[in-house]
Amino acid sequence: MHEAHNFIYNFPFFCIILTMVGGVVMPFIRNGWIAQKINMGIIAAVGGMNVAVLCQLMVDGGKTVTYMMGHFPAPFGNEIRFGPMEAIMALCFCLVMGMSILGGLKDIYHDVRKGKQNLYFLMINLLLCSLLALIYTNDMFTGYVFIEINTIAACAIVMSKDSGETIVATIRYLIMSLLGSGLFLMGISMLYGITGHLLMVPLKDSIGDLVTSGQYAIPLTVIIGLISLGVAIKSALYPFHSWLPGAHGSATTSSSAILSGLVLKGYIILLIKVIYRVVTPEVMAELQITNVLLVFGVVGMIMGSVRALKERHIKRMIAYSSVAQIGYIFMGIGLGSTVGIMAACFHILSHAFTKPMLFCSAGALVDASGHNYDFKKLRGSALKNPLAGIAFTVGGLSMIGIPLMAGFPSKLYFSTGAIQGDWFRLGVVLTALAISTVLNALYYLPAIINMWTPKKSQEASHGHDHGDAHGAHDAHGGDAHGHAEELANVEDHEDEHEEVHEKPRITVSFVVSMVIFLASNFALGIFYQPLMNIIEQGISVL
Amino acid sequence: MGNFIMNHYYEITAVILFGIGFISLLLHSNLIKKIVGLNIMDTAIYLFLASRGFIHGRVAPLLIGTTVPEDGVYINPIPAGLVLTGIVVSVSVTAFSLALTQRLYKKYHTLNLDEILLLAKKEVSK
Amino acid sequence: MNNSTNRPQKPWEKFARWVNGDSTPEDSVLRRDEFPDGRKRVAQPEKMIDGTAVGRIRRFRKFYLAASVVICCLFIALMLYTVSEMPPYGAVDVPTNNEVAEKYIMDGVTETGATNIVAGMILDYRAFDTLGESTVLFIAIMSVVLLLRKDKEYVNDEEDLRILEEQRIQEQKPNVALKTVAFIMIPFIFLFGIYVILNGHISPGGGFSGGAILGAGLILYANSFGFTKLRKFFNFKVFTAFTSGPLLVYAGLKTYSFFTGANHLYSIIGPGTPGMILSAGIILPLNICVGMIVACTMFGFYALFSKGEI
Repeated sequence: MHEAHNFIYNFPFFCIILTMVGGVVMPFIRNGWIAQKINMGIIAAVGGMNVAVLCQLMVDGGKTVTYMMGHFPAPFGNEIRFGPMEAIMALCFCLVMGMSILGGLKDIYHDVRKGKQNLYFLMINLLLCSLLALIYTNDMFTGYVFIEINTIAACAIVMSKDSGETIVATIRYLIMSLLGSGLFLMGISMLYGITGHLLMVPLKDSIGDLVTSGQYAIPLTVIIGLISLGVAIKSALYPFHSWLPGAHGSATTSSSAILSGLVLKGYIILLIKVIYRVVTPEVMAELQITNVLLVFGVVGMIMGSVRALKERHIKRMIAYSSVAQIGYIFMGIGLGSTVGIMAACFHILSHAFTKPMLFCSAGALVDASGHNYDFKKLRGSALKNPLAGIAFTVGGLSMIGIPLMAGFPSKLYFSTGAIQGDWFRLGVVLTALAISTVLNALYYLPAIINMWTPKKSQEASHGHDHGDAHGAHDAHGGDAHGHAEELANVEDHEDEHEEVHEKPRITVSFVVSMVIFLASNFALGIFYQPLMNIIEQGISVL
Repeated sequence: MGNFIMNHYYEITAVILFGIGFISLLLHSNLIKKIVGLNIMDTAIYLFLASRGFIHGRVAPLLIGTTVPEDGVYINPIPAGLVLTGIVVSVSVTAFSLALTQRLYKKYHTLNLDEILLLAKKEVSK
Repeated sequence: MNNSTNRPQKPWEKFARWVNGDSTPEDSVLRRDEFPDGRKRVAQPEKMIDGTAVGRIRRFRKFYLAASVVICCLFIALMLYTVSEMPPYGAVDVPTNNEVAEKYIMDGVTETGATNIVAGMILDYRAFDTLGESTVLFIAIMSVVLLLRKDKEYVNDEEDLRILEEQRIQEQKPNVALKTVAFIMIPFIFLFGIYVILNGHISPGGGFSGGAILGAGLILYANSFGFTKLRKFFNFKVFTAFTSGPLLVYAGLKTYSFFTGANHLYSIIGPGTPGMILSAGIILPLNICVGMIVACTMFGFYALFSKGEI
């Protein structure tokens, strides 16, 4: 009755269990350094397993595989199910998570208290576990349980930087998140009430029956609305974004990167799976929910950018930019066509690779300018840490949508998706894209120009010499130079005592992380076609 | 109308409780009240689920003194399991939010979220 | 608001303010101004909010309040309308009463070996959800540890003072009644908790409820005989071992079960004789694991909230 699986198809299950066990053993490991190494090992292993799964799936012709969690098949026991789309998402999530941790490693050791660093990595492991489970699950209720794990882990990595500001941000985040998961659970309960199923495949059949017979039409609309609303609150779609800037802006660098790069996307992937595997896009369009999502997405794209424009705090500015990008993704879902969803999926990936790079480089730049978050005071910081400056520049340009970078293909596909729709959608989407691009440029370009501009007065020449003469790795020369600069500084302006002028120590992990982020950003921007093919294949069998 | 109430009284209660919890979570600035609202909301969902599983004249799905189940005697066991899972999740998130509240109270000596926000902003700008 | 706090209040006004959450009850007994070693208590910091900011918030809140009430009324009305369209309550021919529920009831005993059908369902048919659920408990207690557990860098004088004071009171007052009753009760509480856990698959109960009873017993012990006495056998290391260890065992057992199930391999775990205590495959060990996790978690919450350490 059941075909025997290839052994490789056990890997997604192993990934979930491995990350979970990796999280559970962390309390025994008192040393934060060892915990970090174990965590990196687990992420690497999970990434490797996902590569294997992806290759095997493509060899087998891009099919999806259903994997029973236990001895009982479809409507009776839990299941996970994976195809090319899930595998590539999981792979990218592992990569981004690993690089985000490496990119902010210095800040983790600085911000999280010594005895509790192992618990930070515990949260990271369980966060990855829940993200993988959300990507792979084929059961609505499993989705809910892992959403809760995700929520607690995400809040915990925000509050691990133990200051009043982060705890306030955490509780706001937690309250909004719980509101969202409450709505999601209510949606699932009602869905169970009218269908009697919790697994996605039987749900799809019974919803199909309900739609053809016209039974329970109103509950069905409300249920899909509740589920979409819950996901929208949890992934900070525009009017529900109020918690996001605080949480992402005040957390430690890695946490901000992971939260905006991955956590927001996990819920959206679940929503896409619900749309394709449970409700079907036709029903979504028929119930007008796609149009609502389109409107919210477009408003979010523009309003997020407008709010970012007003922001002076660099991390909060990047956080508001995330609100705008979430708007893009929801707009893609709202287009209702396959190309729209493909564009949304691609944008999930491109944003997942770009935003953590921005956060990590911003963290390094802030470090270089003496812990100043106001972006006017970041002037000249890119010259002190050129690698972070380059990464921030590339990230910003990619967000604007310059060709050759990751942000460009997604905008291209959004436009393609809009052209395939009716005239009204075409107009709305293209106008929104144009306005949003201009707004993005308006807030990223000044920040970039500002950080490459040398400081005024005699330090200007210093800065230029320095930028030309020394590469990122020349730590010794940098130290000497920094020392001289510091001396000069003490003599000249004693009032600016706060600003530290020594050359920031650039760690190896930061270099590795930035180089990989830069490489993958360009790779996504130039060689996007194969990736799009995989995504298209994945969506067609979803 | 009377028929509607007779047919759905548990669901109606559940939905009204859900609304009350929802409004408390949104409206109150007192953190403890917010958490109470959250619990009311969760409880409403469990009441709704439990009412979905109930069937008139049947008993809990538990075999006592026999190992051979009879058809048409037991209510639906699935909602019971879902409620059990939901309760554990709700306990966890409640404990976590209360811990956050306790920390905030120790730091700022108030439970009012608006005041805490102002105090935190002041602290940052200092 | 600040003006009204200064004038003397009638007791019921105080009570009403306390019920409304506007004031906190000041426990006059449990405060002294210096530590036993002579350190002075740090004065409570003044609230630094000026009037204009509060006024602005008040005005905003009025608008917010009106909007929320309208939204919530609309929301409740919409949900009521939805509910009226749902299948009726308590009927037999509703969509939820389908082949899935029927299979759990009719085949549950033979397939899982548990006469408690709900236990069989959550620990065998839908075990992945329950594994996730135990992980939620684990991650919650670990985040509370991350947040509240004291270490060298996080000290709070006022908190320390309160805990010392409580200890002093506990040592001064003999509390004979509490100790005697606890001494009699605690063995029965533990026995009952263990009974509920071990019989989870053949009677109502299971790991979650039994674990909560054990946790309550631990809390009672700590309160009547003091945390210092409890720490002799239940310190942070034991707590870690009893929280992570059972979850690892749980994950290991379930990995075996999932792996054999998904690959259609022969599993050495059979359902056993239904109705016996040693039956139902791995449901009994799973219940024991869950019970330990829940007991430790419940006690951990209490200890961390009240003392900041375990």
